[in-house]
Amino acid sequence: MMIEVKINGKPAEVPAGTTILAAARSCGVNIPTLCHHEALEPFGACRLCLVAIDDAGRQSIVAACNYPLEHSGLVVETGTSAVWQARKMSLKLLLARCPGVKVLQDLAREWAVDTKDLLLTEDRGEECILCGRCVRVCREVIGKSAISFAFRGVERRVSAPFDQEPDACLGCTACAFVCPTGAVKVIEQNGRRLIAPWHSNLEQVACKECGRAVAPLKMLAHLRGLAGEENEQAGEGVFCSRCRRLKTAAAVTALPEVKFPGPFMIP
Amino acid sequence: MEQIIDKYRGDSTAMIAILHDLNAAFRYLPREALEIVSDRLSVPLSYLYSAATFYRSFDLEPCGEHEIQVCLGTACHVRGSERILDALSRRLGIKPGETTADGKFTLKRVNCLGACALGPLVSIDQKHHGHLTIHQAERLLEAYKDEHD
Ligand code: SF4
Ligand code: FES
Ligand code: FES
Repeated sequence: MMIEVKINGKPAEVPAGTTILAAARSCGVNIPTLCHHEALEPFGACRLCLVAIDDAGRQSIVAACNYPLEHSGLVVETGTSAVWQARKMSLKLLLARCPGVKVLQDLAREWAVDTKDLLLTEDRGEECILCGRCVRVCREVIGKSAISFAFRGVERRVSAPFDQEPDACLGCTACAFVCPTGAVKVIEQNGRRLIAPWHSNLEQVACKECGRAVAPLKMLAHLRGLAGEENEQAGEGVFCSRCRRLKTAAAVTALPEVKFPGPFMIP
Repeated sequence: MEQIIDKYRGDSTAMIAILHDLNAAFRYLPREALEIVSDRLSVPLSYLYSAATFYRSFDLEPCGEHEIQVCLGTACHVRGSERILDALSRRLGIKPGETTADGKFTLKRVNCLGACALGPLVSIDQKHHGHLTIHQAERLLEAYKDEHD
């Protein structure tokens, strides 16, 4: 079923269930986001995507990323002063928690947020804004749920169970990849991969050619499993991407030269 | 352990109920227990840890023999339960959330025991004591100590 919505005065038609964010983007209206990620379920944690809606006279400010459009007639405004005030407040709250995080500082500058009453620092300090992207990617995409939110209120944090090295972690670093703030630190040293905040510590497989670390054994075994291959050979005959490329190139150059017919000979 | 899980027929929606029963049986949630639950219910360990740290009624460290809960829900709070908590904390020589060295008492702040009309409310071993003054709360504790020595 298609439903009608008006975004910044422009009428649009979208399938029922589309979020305000997706609807806005489909007609070229940009809404800032931070905890949202295209590959993940909406979570509504950062409140930077706030917009004003008018639903048959009932007005409110809602998070665009997780507000599904279910019936026609909603009027959405993405840039009113009330909306900006609310977004700036959300940003200030995030900055109060994480005064050293660059993405937040940049946004504050871009939005001309008054940060006089905040102590912005160079030193990074707390970097996790509790956006839940790492938790969601581990659950929804990797299917491992090695980490989760723990505790509540001001103590809320993302952690591995018991704050100890998680059995379920493959060392894939999808969490670090989606983290918007750089809070998930990955360290590779001495043939091991460490994911600092979760205390993950995984053995890496070395490239058969150059000996450089390629990927954690556990992750390769998981991938082989997905591909229906035997797990025992997970770490065998693995090349790093550079050596693999060189080998392929060498193999290709070694092929006998092929004569192609000239361009005008196509019948 | 197995009994508790079997009681709920390995139903993963009963996760919280199972944790409650385990917490009561062991007086906390040992990691090994959560690992078994995770296995039997096919629920990731991280979910269990999340729930175990979210709700105040679960413990991750062994509790004392007697559990004193001081309610700091809104209704009790406005009636001064914070000061009762302070008084009991001083008397026991431990901070909220801690257990006395002899393993007898655990002091906890909880978030509304659901009997707001009785506030300020203190519950010892699940028995509610309402409308307490600081003095009464202290006497209650002493009486309890004597009784169980
Ligand atoms: S670690 Fe990064 S991705 Fe995970 S919740 Fe914190 S900020 Fe978000
Ligand atoms: S992007 Fe919508 S709340 Fe974070
Ligand atoms: S606030 Fe104490 S019982 Fe509800």
